[in-house]
Amino acid sequence: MSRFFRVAWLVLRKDLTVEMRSLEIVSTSLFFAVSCVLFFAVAFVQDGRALDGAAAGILWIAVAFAGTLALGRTFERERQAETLRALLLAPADRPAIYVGKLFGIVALLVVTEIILLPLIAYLFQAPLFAHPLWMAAILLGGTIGYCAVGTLFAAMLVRARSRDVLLPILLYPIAIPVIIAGVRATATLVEPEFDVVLARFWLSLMAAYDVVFVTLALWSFEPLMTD
Amino acid sequence: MMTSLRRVAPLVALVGLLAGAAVAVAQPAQPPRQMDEFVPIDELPQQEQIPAANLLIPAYAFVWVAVLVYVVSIARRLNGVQREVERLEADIKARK
Amino acid sequence: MPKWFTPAAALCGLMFAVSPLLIANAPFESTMGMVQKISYYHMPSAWIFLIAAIVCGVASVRYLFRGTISQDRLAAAAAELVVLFGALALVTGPLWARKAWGVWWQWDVRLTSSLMGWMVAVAYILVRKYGGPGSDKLAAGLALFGMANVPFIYISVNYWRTIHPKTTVIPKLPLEMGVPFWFCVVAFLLLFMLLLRLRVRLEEQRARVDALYLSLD
Repeated sequence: MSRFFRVAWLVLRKDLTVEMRSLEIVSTSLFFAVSCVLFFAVAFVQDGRALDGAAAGILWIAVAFAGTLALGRTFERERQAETLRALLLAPADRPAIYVGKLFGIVALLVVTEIILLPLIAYLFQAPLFAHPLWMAAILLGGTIGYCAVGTLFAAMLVRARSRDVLLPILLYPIAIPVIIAGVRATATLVEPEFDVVLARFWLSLMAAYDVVFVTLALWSFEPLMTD
Repeated sequence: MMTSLRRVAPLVALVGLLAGAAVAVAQPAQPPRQMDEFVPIDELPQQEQIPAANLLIPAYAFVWVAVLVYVVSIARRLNGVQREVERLEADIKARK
Repeated sequence: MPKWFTPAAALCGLMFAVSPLLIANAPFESTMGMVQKISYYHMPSAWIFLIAAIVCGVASVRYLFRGTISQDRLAAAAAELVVLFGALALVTGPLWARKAWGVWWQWDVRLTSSLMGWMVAVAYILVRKYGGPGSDKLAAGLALFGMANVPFIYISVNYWRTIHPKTTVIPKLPLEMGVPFWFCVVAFLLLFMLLLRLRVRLEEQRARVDALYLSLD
């Protein structure tokens, strides 16, 4: 088991080192997310005030779009130098490689979210920081669920011809429940009266989704990645 | 390690699904609003009444047309492939 | 083609030709009136949509973990029928809803999960078509995840709204409505099996063409 986590850690550290040196993915996906937010500001702000509950939706759509970009770019980087093939040829558990990749992308998205969150909170006057622990748990749960599917599909698509187009086509229908849960849970935080029962329901649904989809991905990574 | 993971994985997925279902059942479901607000059609104002035939006929027409179009498309594709098979078989025979 | 195919196709055509007569003679439903007659085609389409999706999912999983090519062909064929019957259900449904609910569409649990399931099937076909080499595995993975997705969509949408009639109405159908209904169900099931067989045949023939091309070289 320790070997499994060591491989995962090595893959994660490699990805983070590459990213630290270039900052390419974080900066591009953050910029993209902010552009999305500006689009929404044009669409949903009337008379200087945003529509009620718009902030929750805006946050998650921006995260989803930025996530697509980050997922595509992470694996594009691996493809250029055929390093993914090398990684898969290495005498290591494939699921461990998947876990390392997954945490790498989650870490990048979390960095993006940390900057995005206050921006949305102030631009749309949404009290997103009223329950910081809940907010953190919801964001993390949603990001893991979204990336669990996204990492698997992006890895599979490395060999496909039109991978940039196909990633959202594959990912979005599957990621719908986690986005619904994320938006609904965030919406409960923004409400003037915080409904703990409702928030807990959406968070547990998200956790169940995370467990099922990470397990399924670990289970199917091996057959999906073999030629 | 990997084989054991593979054996356990469907189980875990199943347990997770059940847990999700349990969460949903355990929570008191909100009363479905639309069911309470449902208005029987004879209470609608007269001008809002929509003749049912205008909906019924397109519905049936769509089903028939869609199925027919699909059958035709399969038939065309099958014919095309069939012709190619015959052509290729003839080619192979000619070479021998 | 198997021996049963031609007689079954004839029977299916006959059943579809007769079905409008049976439906026209069935009594009207008390609150919804004439528009409720859409259900004789709507419900069978929706059921076949679900059956086709299950066939596609199970076949994809078997292909993924066992590598049986025939299962891949079955999954590809079923996916196309998911799109066809899903389209039937998704078009006839709103036409009924326009009258019964006053709106074309509601983000109700059944509608939403059907739409998502249908979109997964469309994505499946798009991936197979444009994915290039290796796209069969990709599509199979999509089908696997799509199947796991259904309960989550169902729970998450069900939690905040539902207005769709429940399937519990079916066992309670009076005889005059039940006979045309089950007649249509059988007709649709037959249609599904015939189309599935045809579509699998198409995949088999395509594989044969590929094999012939290889033997030419």
